Amino acid sequence: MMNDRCAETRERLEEMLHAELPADDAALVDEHLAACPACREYRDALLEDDRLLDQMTRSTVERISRMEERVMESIGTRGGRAQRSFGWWAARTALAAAAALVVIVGYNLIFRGTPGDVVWARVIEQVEKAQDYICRIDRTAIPWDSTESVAYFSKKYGQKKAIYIDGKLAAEVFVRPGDKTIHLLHHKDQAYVTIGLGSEDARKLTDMTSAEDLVEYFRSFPYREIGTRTIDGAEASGIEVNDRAIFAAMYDTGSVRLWVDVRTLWPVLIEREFEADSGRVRVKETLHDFQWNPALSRKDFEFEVPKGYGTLDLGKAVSGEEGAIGGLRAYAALTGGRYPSAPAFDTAAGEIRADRDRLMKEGRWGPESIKQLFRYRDFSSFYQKLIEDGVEVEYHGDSVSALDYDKILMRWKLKDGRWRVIYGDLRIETAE
Amino acid sequence: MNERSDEFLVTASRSGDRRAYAELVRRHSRRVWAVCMGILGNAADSDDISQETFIRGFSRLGSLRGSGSFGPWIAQVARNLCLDQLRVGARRRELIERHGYTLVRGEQDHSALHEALAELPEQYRTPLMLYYFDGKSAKRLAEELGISHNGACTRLSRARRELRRILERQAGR
Repeated sequence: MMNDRCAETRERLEEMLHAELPADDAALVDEHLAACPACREYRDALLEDDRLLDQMTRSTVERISRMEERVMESIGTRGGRAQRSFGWWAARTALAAAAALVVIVGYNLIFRGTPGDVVWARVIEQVEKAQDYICRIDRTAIPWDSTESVAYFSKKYGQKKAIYIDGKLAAEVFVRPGDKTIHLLHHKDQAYVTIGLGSEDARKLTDMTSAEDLVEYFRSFPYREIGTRTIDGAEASGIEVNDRAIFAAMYDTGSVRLWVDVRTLWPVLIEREFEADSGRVRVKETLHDFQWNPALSRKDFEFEVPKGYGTLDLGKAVSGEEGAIGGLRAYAALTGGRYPSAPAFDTAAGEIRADRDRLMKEGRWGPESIKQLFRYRDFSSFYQKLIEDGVEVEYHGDSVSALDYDKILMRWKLKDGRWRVIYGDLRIETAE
Repeated sequence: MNERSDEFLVTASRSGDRRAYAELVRRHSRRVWAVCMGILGNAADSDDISQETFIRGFSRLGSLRGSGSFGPWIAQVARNLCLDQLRVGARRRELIERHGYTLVRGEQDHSALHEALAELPEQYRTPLMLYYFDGKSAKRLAEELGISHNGACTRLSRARRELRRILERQAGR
């Protein structure tokens, strides 16, 4: 039978639901619940309603996003969803996004040092303390399509990136702290793509959700002042790093510039430029429109796979020599025996265009081909690790093919002074 | 600290920066949708009126006094449009009754919860929608409704109780 205690408990349950009840009061509620079946039933119903309403909110997120898109379309900032197709160039976006995430992994390892200048040290200190941030990323990656992204980063909840091509939402990428999978909603192709990571890569990718990752370059390498300019109506001061180590020899040249608002000391613009293969591969990323500490919540990083989406699992990364050889073999199988002229994933994906066209004509290009190409990241990661280890690695993909069984495709120095050698036919041996 | 405040985005939007306005839409879309759903009780209508709210908002930014108060202002635009919609709906129902037209409705929400929400009186539905779509914070709800924190909790509690009553009645019929 309901009494005053029951009435009080039921009011308190509401506060518990809002997480606003002090621990002592919560203990009293628990005590009453243990003795009162009617109030337990009331609590269960309350939780069930809360769950239902939460569920409804989540299921409505997609329709609100569609509404937002229609608004954007009306005011001229972007178009609606693209037509459904499963061609290579659409799927390539998934690879681009994943590559951008995966290839960068490992940079953290090579950054050591302390800030040199007092003012810049304050910038770095401030950024390191940031819990979360939002920014826009414009990426031009010749020979790829250009993309624009809105990226959300949170130390607590991970990262989310909404990627636009030609103003249309093409894909969304989600990475959760500690999760060994990159989740990619490829809206353009209506596909849900998962990319497995090794433990170490997952850990490093988690590190990248911290704003610290933005300033690592400048904490660890000598930088030069590049003056001041006006950005978004505010005076900004810039520094630049162009040490070869920032791009771990994946590119021929590269530089990173950081511009901060001189008044607030928050970064307002970060420019990253890399070039490889005598200028045939050029990557430029501009991070701008920063919002610092916008108090992102778990909901900002949640996603649901829309109904009707196909699934594509790009598999787990394979580390070490096994992964490297597997990646090169998969790539050569797609290209008829050719290797990329440079080890970066950007280069490999860019140079496979002609082969993709050929295979498509022959009706032999499909999700399996994409999986195969994606295996190349294992080689790319392996190469990057060798660079980080400083083992005098050499790569000759520009002049060696699978037919060149006697030519050295890649070699690196072992601790005992001998060389580990991968030949054109992917035989691997240790040589003097 | 938020580098790109609403105030900044409103100023940029007024000067024609559509991206800045897109960010405002993203920030406030849930709140506006919740306001619409609270008043209209129908998801499809809420989509339409939310969309209309933001489109009108863009062209009427000049009438916003104090560029930092975009949230309350756009919510008021949504409320006004919803009330217009209800008036139009009432007029349409009147015509239907007088002339015996067949009522053709758009997308229907068939789930028990949506039906129960539609049946819930507006004074209960609005706090529930605002609470769940705008960060699940009783403090924010209190600010939005212009009532005390305790008042917001009481409204939520009553709304849930009423919703439960409707759901149980639905289950029993």
